[in-house]
Amino acid sequence: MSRLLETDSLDLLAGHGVPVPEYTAAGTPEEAAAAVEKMGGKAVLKALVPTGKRGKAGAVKFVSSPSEARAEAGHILGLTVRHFPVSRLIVMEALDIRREFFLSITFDPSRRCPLVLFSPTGGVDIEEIVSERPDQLFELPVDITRGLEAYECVSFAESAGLEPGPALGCGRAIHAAYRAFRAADCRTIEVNPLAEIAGGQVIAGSGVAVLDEQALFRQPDLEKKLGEEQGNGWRPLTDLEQAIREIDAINPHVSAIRFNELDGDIAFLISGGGYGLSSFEQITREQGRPATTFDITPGPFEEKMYRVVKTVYGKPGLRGMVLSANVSNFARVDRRVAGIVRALKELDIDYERFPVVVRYDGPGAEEGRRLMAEVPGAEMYGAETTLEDICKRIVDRAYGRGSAEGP
Amino acid sequence: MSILLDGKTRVLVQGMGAEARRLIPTMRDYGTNIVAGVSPGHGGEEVEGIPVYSTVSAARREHEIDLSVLFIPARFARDAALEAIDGGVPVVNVVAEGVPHHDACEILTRAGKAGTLIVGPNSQGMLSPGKAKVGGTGGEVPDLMFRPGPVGVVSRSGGMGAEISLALTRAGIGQSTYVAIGGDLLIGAAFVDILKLFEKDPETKCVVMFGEPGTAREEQAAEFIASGGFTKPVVAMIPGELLENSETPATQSHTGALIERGVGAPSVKKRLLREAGARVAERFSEIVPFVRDALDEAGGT
Repeated sequence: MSRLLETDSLDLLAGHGVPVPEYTAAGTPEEAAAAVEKMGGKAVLKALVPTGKRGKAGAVKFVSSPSEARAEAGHILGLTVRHFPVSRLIVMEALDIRREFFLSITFDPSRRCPLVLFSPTGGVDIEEIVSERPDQLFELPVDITRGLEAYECVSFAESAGLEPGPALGCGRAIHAAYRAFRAADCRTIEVNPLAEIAGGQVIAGSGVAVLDEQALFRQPDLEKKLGEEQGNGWRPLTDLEQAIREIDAINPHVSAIRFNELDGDIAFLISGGGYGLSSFEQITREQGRPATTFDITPGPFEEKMYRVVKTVYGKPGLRGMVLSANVSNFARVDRRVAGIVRALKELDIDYERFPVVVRYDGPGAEEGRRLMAEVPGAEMYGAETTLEDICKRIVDRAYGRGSAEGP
Repeated sequence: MSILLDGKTRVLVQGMGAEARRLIPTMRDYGTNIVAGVSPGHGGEEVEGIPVYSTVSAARREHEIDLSVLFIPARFARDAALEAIDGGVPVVNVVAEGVPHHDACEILTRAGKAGTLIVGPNSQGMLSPGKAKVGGTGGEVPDLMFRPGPVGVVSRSGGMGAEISLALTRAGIGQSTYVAIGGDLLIGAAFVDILKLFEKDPETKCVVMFGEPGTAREEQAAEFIASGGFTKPVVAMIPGELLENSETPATQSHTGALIERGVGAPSVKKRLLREAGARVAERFSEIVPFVRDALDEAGGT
């Protein structure tokens, strides 16, 4: 996921006309205190991390003086929110909120269109609205080729039960947020709460924009904002993940790698969206513990596979390694295997203690098998087996279960 | 018979670059009736003996087209797909992985208005064994994975659709047509669209569908089956239930495989499909025996 930090998300929304409060980023308690002073002494401090549920983690605090801001900022800067250590805060002007709404714009895969979701009951999780007050969630599907007019947004807000005044403010905010959604190639925009403040103005009390990774090539400015802080989408990168990123950077657009490190003990280098997931689940079902997830797009694999195998093997506590992909259409099996074999030869593995199980088939499979035979001890299988066979095989071998016979 | 594609289907190839040059021979050798290619600025040339036109409309002036397959990089897929839609091509297969979601949405919206069936994006293609194939599926080794027979296969994952076909083929069970509908969040033909076609195909006796976490496509298929829209036996596999409550991303190359706002949990999909009468495989090795049962139920292989 490519989730912009809240400051960047609010910049984006404001740039397209969504009213936003005053806000700034702060990296130290002193910076936070100074910012609060500038805002008149009252503000909200929130952890600036690429994840949600900050409130539940105690990483959102209202403060009513610079000295309180200093103390609370010091506290929040020591927290870790859903794996992300907090290194910066957003300091936001305290709003005199009279009423909270929920606004999200996303894609509806069933109707194949952008979908505006709005609730007159904001300030809580969308999941909570869906499960507890589904009648309070209103949907506006959008014809992307035609776009959305301001009047449609206003009448949509009225249809959600709002009086004319707030409906106008919410409608304008929806209209502006949709422009941001389109212009920035967003997968999702969420404003929660969208707030009506004293005086009747409707303003974004918070903002999140999730970008479409498949469109970053045409959003270079936004891509730059997705820095290292993103991690792998759900937590910061581990050292091993960082090392694999560097391998991928040899040529990021050819044989692109996706990789996660986990707590398990079987190096899991099985690629393919559906094939990898099916294999991961099967190993889990067999009581195996995958230590990684992996994907690599077709291409000249050799160098990247060589480096990945060597690097992943260095992870402490591994009991074995399984490498596979679905039977390929064109991707050369021998190119993949050549890299793996080169790594295995250099690693000098005792295959009795550290089993290596491989399954590939498709073009170049015969040559691949011949290459793999140069590494006695590593087991190579092909289309005569299934993913289930090799998942069982690596679990049996890694944990010393089952028979000595392969599938 | 088969669905969407057979040896008579008149196929247009859009994008006559390196990928097309590699794929065209394997498609043609398998029996695909490729009548023309489109490559802007290259009208009048020939590639692999196939006449090339600069635009879809120029190709259509000389040829009847039933299906277009796009060998176009993701960032240019929108333009090519819209050209095919506006050119009146009834079925368009978008192979590219990584098409921006806003582009895919525009393609699908325009296709919906024009009555065009989009297969993809992020689709490995489709194949009617012994007749024809488009896209990458089957690759250089189609006979390893596919043989003619009574089972329709439809999959969100190109790799798993191929693995399922391979397992069936090795068990002596052939396929009528295999369709890779694509792994992205936004795709054209969904399970229900393909089930409608398989329902009408007398050669198809049962269907195997491979689903994934995310979206409501499997749920919609279950509803369609339960409401009597599809009357043949269904075998389904949807991995991911064991990982439902894990924060580990289930699969990263399929943008549709995210459980969002409580929609798309494999446990729910599997339950609904079971309630609709489908045989739901927990393990890959259950698919072949379930298909044998399904074929027995359908009355003959």
